[in-house]
Amino acid sequence: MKTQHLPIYLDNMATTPTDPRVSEAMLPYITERFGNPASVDHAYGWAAKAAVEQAQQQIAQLINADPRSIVWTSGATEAINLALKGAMHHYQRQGKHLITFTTEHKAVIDTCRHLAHSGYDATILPIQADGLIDLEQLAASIRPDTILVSVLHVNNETGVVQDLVAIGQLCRQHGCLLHVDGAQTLGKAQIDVSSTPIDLLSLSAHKVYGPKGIGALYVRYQPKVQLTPQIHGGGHQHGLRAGTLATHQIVGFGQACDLAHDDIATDIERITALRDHLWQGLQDNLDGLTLNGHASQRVPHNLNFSVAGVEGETLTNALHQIALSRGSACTSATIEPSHVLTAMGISRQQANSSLRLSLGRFTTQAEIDAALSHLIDTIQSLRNLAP
Amino acid sequence: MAQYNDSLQQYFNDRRYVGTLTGPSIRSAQHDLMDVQLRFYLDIHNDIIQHVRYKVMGPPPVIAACAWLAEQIDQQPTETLANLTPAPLMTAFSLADHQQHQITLVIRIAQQCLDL
Repeated sequence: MKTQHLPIYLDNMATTPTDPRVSEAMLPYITERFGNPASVDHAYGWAAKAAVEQAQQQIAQLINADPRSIVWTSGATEAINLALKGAMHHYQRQGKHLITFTTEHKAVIDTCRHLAHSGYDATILPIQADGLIDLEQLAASIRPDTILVSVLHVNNETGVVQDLVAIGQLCRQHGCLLHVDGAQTLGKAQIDVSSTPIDLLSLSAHKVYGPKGIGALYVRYQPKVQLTPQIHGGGHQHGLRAGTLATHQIVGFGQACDLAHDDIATDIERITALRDHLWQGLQDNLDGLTLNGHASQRVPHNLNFSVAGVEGETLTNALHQIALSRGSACTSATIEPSHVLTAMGISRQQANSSLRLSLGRFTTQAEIDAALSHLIDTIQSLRNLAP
Repeated sequence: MAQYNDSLQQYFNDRRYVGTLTGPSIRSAQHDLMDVQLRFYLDIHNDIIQHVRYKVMGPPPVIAACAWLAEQIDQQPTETLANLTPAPLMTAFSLADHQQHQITLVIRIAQQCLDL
């Protein structure tokens, strides 16, 4: 079989490679420890149940939560659906209004639109040019019938980080719930649900070097947040989310959180240095680069910038030595600019010529040096091609 | 990002004939609309295209089409360019129907050099 030379992986915000220590922890639960955690009558089930409980502890430790508040889902998208639909359905007698923002992940926006079509009232607020939420505008938008505000903590496209403490306090003052989309949070930014007024937090494993297909929803235990279940059939997880638990994936998620808890400080320090070296190198050798999003209120893992003088699809096609994302998405016949970038007031052309590079735990200095060289050469070559 | 066939990718990667031509015998044409900026330069003597160059900013099919077209007409009679149609390129690059306008544009701009 021919071995394909793979590009340098700088797309960690799309997904991360599973840490070998995570794979190692998962394997026994695929092989000899295959029991169903719901099997209460024998050792296979007890072992699986114990593993699930340990993973709950590991996730709870990372976010400083009560382990009883963790609900397993198939990923962050399902967690978001459970949070938004579950909360709005349960509290509908108190109100039918929810608020979110134009730069949210489609999992939130599409769920809000679904709720709007189902008789709820969804307000999607604009954000500022730097990607940050306007707190005054949010405060003015919360109504007596507002049940929920949903905020993306770390933006998946720009890496911009929202001020959850300030937003949470606003929600508390107005008596509404705060759901945080934390799909990109774990391992990139600290989060403490005990000291920050967060009621619901959606989490993803595959963004923190865990396996795909598993996520979790933190549901505040005290004071208890109630949700209407969205998946029925068996009463698992205290009736909140039916379905046999995928023990091996849960173990993987738990292990990934354990590693994140231990490694986050060193990861951030190392990745910050790599990112800064990359960005400085680009700016030293190329003009016409514009950083998208707040310059400092962002995670170091993300570098999203526009390149003037080069067409976007050509740029990413030419950058074949790097696996990255661009500021647009392809439909079957057209290329649409990123809704996040356009929501920040970035022009269609600039958004289409944007690149998102996202570093991770396994990104090396050598890879950054090679990527930097390739980026400079390619952009210069394409600019020389242009009239 | 769309995945293009090997032929298109090769012309895109190689990008030969890039540049400009100047002088009294040079014919040029340009396009600056709809996310494509294109300049063609032809040096024609005795109805033979002696030299061809182009400069372009646009998506990969447009760039590959410029490189392909330049290769086809270099050192050829002007009739070769005048008779070019999108069909052979659409086939060679396995492009979808909605991309034909990009190929048509490249050919049309190059052919405009003959109109001068």
